[in-house]
Parts: sequence; structure tokens; C-alpha cells
Amino acid sequence: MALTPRLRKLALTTHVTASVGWLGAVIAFLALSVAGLTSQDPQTVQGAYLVMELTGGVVLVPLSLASLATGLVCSLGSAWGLFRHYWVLFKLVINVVATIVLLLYMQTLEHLGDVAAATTLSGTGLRGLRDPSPVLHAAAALLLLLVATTLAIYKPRGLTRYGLRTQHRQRKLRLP
Amino acid sequence: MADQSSSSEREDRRGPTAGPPRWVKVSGIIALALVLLLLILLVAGGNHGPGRHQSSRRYGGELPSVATAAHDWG
Repeated sequence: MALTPRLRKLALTTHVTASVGWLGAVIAFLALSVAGLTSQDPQTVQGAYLVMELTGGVVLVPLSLASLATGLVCSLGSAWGLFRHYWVLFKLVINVVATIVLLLYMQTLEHLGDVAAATTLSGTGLRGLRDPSPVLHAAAALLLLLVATTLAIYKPRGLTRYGLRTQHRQRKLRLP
Repeated sequence: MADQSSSSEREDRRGPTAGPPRWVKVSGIIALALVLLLLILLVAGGNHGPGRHQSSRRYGGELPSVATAAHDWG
């Protein structure tokens, strides 16, 4: 199922754009979550949780799904394959895990957004809003995405058992 | 993901019985340790996960009062 060089370039460009965009959005989300946790200004705290909910649904989820979909197209459409090289497999696992956790975490973000929208800008309301979990989730996501980016750039060697078998079969076919 | 280059053709000419490279083993051990740590924290921490906010308005429940939320999140 190899793509033509032109389509492969297009898929790769889309994949890099979505993945790097996701990484940047997570950094922005981390800044918002830290502001929501530490700021003394009630409006900043309330605004941070409202924007976090919006960013999660409108930016993070679409970019994560786009990164996953284009990653699948890139790997399956080239000789790299999906299960042949450890670095591709690791990236796939990271992408799938991060996307699933994000989709599940959206429920928490929506709840925090609801509380932020309903909270009066008082000291008690602020205490109720402050939640360290967005910071922890964003920091973990950032770490995972940095690992994935590093793997994509360095492409460390290593064929899986499936990759070795495929390579062995292909060599046999090439022999006269 | 990048364009396939001739490097993958030259990659790992070991036999099919050779084990995974060292970076895979080290990464695997680190990942396993992190997952175990996370599981321990989740079990010890108790109230965590997507189900903890089932009372949200969007899911048919009532929004908890700020005082309850403050108690939940410490």
C-alpha cells in the first residue's frame, strides 16, 4: 500500500504540522493550568479554566486525532510500516495512549469549565476551582510528546520480530 | 515519521532470533516502572479517573457546590 512520493510528502507535512501543533498546544495548556493553579487574580483563574476547556475540545482533541490518523497513513504508506521498527511502534503507542487519556480527560475539563462558569469570583470559589490535575496531565503529555518527537527525529535502529521476518522474506524474494 | 531512506535497508542485519536493541529494553523498563508507579498512585489516591465527575451538568447531574469541590480537590 505504498503511496506515491508526492502523496507521501503531503501526508508527512500534515503529520508533522499536526504533531508539532499538538506539542505547542500542550505547552500553552500547561501555562494556562499553572496560571489557574497559582494565580491570585480571580478573573485569571476563572478565565484559565474556561479557556482550558475550550482549548481541549477545539485544539487538543482535533490535533491529537489528526496526528494519529496522519501517522498511520505515513507509516502504512511507506516502507517503514507500522510494526516493523521499534521507534515507529513506540510512537504509535505514545500517540494512542495520549489520545485516549486526552479523550477521557475531556470529561474532567468540561466539569472544571462548568464550575468556573458557575463560580463567583470570591476566595472560596477560587479554592474550589484550583485543581492540580490539569498541570499533572499537561506535564505528562508534554513529556510523552517530546519523547515521540525525539524518536521521529533520531529514528533509533531496531527491527521488531515482525520487521525481521518481513526483511528476511523480502531478501529471499530478491534472490534469483 | 519521515521518508523511507536506504538506511532501513541496511538496518539490523541480525538474525530473527536476536533480541531487541538496548534502547528498547531500557525504554521498556522505564515505561513499565512509570505505569506501575501510576497504578500505585491511582490505587492509593482513590478518587481519580473520568468517572469522578459524573455529577457534571453535561452528564445529567447537578453541579457540585463550590464547598464540595473545595473538599474534593483539597
